[in-house]
Amino acid sequence: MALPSNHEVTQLLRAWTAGDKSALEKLTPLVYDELHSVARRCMAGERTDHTLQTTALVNEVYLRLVDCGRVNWQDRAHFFAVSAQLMRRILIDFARSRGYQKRGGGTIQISLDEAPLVSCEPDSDIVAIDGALKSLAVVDERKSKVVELRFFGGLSIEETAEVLRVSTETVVRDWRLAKVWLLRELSQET
Amino acid sequence: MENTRWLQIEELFHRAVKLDDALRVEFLRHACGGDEQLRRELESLLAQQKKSEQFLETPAVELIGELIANEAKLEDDHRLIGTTISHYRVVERLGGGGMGDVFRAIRADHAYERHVALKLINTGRHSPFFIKRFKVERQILASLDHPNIARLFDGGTTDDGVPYLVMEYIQGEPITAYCDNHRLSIADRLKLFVQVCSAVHYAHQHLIIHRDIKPDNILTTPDGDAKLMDFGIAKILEVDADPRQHQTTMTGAFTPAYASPEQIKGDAISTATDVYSLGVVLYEILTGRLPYRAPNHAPHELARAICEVEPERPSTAAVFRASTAVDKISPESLSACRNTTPEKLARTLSGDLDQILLKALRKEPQHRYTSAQALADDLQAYALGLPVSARRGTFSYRAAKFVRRNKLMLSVAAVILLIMFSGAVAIIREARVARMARFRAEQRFEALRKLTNSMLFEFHDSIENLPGSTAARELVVRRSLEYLEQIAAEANDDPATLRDLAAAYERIGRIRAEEGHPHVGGSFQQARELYTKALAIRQNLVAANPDDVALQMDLLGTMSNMAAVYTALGELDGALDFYQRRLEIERKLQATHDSEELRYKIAGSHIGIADVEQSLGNYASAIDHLHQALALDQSLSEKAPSSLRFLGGVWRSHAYLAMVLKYDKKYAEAAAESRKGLGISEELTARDPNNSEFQRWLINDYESLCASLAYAGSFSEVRGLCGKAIEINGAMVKSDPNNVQARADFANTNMTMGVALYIMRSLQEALRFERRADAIYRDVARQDPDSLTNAVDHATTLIYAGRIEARLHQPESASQDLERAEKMLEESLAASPKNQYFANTLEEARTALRALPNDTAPLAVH
Repeated sequence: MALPSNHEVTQLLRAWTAGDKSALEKLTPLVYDELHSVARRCMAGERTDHTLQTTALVNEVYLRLVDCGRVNWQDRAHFFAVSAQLMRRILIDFARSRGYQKRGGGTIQISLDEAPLVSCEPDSDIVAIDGALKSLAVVDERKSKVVELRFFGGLSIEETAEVLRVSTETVVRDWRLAKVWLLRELSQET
Repeated sequence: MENTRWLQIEELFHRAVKLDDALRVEFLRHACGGDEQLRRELESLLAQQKKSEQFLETPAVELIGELIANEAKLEDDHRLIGTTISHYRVVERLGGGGMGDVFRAIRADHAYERHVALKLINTGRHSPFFIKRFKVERQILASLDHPNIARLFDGGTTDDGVPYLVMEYIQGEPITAYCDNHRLSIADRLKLFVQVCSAVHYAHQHLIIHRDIKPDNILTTPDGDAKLMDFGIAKILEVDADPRQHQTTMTGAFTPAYASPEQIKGDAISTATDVYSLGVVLYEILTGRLPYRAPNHAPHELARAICEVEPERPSTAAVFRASTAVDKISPESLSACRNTTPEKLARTLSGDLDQILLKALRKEPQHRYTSAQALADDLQAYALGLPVSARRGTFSYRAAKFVRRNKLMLSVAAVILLIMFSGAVAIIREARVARMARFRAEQRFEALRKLTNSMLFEFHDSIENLPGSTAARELVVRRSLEYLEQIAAEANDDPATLRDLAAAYERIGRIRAEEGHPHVGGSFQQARELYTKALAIRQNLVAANPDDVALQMDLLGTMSNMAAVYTALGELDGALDFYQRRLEIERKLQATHDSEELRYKIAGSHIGIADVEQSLGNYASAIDHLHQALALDQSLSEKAPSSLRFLGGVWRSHAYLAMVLKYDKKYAEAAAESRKGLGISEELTARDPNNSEFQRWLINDYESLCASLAYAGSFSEVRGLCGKAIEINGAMVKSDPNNVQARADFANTNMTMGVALYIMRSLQEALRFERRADAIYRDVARQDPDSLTNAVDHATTLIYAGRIEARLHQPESASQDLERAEKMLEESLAASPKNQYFANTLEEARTALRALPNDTAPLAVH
């Protein structure tokens, strides 16, 4: 597949935020392919250091997709927010398409015999989390944003605080409460 | 939910979450008053607190990323089936592991079909650097040729740039499963395991460490042959941009359950690492258990146990460890797999086998078996009913510890010896009586030889560095000699025993020479006497068996020991004579029995001659011999590029040439030779970072290059090179403070740095380094007062210090230093009157003294 120009992706992202639904349809395969190739390289290579891997994965996908010089977003924060949103959509679609859902087809679980590449709770079902997150948005919009930025966008506490224009202390508190709220929500579903 | 209600919940949640359980209940009752709904809401949230700590902490993209990567890999695998890589047609996927996927493939371009295992290395970084290193490693691994090691046939990179290896295709099951499925007895299990040890030992002799020994890597064929897989692959996987970082970047390249403490901690890896993993595998083969109880094998629990917990005695683990999630098999059924009962199994394992396993599993690498072969030897000794070294080892180990604690109780060491020797007496007597029972006698003689060996080496070495152990060591050596004479009387011209006797004389001679005390007790003299005895025996053996090449080779070895001891005694003519006679014999032998080994020895003789010639000041002759040695070494190394020994020979020739050229004031040529040597020593230290010998070579090259460049007036690299030498050398001294040699080297490095700075006219700085070298040499002299080499190097340091001080207008300290140097050199020259180098240096000290108080002459260098 011919690589999309960074310019093209930037245009699509902008169109999508402006409310153009068809832009998302064009964006998704582009992001997916990029994710695919970056993920493969990350898995093949630096398996020894998974924090580095996460950052590499998220940052590389963004950096390769978006021509930063051409981004005339209002600011960096907006860019992060949009990216996290986009990533959420794409990851959920991916998980749904592969049937990585409750008990259906293999939940994301890492065997203990293998070196722990990714520390991951056995039942983190991404599709279910997305659903619970929607309910949380109804109760407390900002907390759901915190989760979106942290979990789907891969942002740090500090970056999240910057995007939401609140203190890091607030992000820490929101994050803590949001997690227990979501867990309770998920446990009630089963 | 109403906004105010939610805010109230939030507020109370954050206050409650900080409290411990008891306070929390109290707090909630108080804060919620009668509002039951509020209390339940908060409690249900707080109940999730513990579980939520890890929740969502791994970003979604990473979780998905792994799935995508796995999918992609499976797709790739599928695509590969039926395709051809190089000459191999991929048939099926056999499995995958930490390092990549393995396929069965068929060599397609031959009349016959050969099945191979094709392993894709798809976890490594595929940079050009990686690929280059991969090639080097591959060549070395391909040279491993042992019946119990899966052969590496071929390798390369696929069209997509993925490196692959083609290996012998082994149909078999992991050794543990094989033993259980065939209900092998403990004795049969040991026999099988000894094969594994010999394979590992073979690889170690080629300086290849496995790093990931585990049952899955030891397949056993239906014929009962053990085959080690994936030798050295772990090393390929950890190749990194910086070769010095090997041992620290290897996390994940091993399997935790079989990993050694040093692997867990990221410390230096050595052959002892493999010995440890062999111990774990043997533990499992014998007991059906792993050495540590880790309730659910949580990686961090296991890691802690490996580093801190003493392994359970195998005899206990097999029979008394209750069944758990990990140890599913009951003692009854695991005993049945071994054709025995739990009681009998416990009895078989307790004692020798317990000790052997615990020795292999020691936390400190230096306290394990010194080699895989030593482990195998002990297992075989056990099988034959002979004493095992693991028990002797703990004994002398404990004795050594005891001596360390009680310096005054050194007589204990003597008592231990008496006990050991009374055993030896009994053996000799028995052997005499049992002459007709020849087999038995041979076995006993073997045991005696082992015992003498153990005394001369294990025991002698274990107490060697203990302060105040001289008397005990003296006793060991003297008694060993007495026994040797007895064996000689028993030997009745039996060539094999005579050969051993000569070897033993030589060994004791070497111990004497290493003690090297020309004034105290005349050890070099004694060494010469012992070598002379060995030489006489060897010459007689050669005369009686003129066609036995091995005996001639032995003789050559003794002759070079002779030459070395003559050199040490300062009798250079005698040394030269021995080297030249050796060369003559070698040339004659070459006409009928040319071999690589012989050529290597001839190169050694040239080096020996060159060494004496340069001491006599005959630089041209020395250089000529060194060129002959270099030519031989290079052709040997070209024919066997994977031989580290031959490569070491090439290094040695370059290093000697650099030294002699420098003495001959041909600095540019000297620098060129140093650079060639450096290329080799850097490669060798990268391959085996823990080899202190290679480190010494590296330091030598940095240092001599630094000196030659400084003399030649090209200063740009000088500081950097010397800094490197000092850094590596400093680390060596720090890691082994008792190593006198390392400290003498360190002093020398500092001296060279000082000289280089002196030439570069940084006088103050130069003086600081010379002072430091002086201090280290003084310290070294306290520990090793009779080394002539150290004394002369120390004197040289003082000459430099004195001359620098003269230029800094400090005539008093200058004359003090120079007078000290003069005195030391006079003494050294008295001990070795023909040494031209000593004489030159003394002359230099006197010239410098005469030039005081205003030394303005240019720096004389040698």
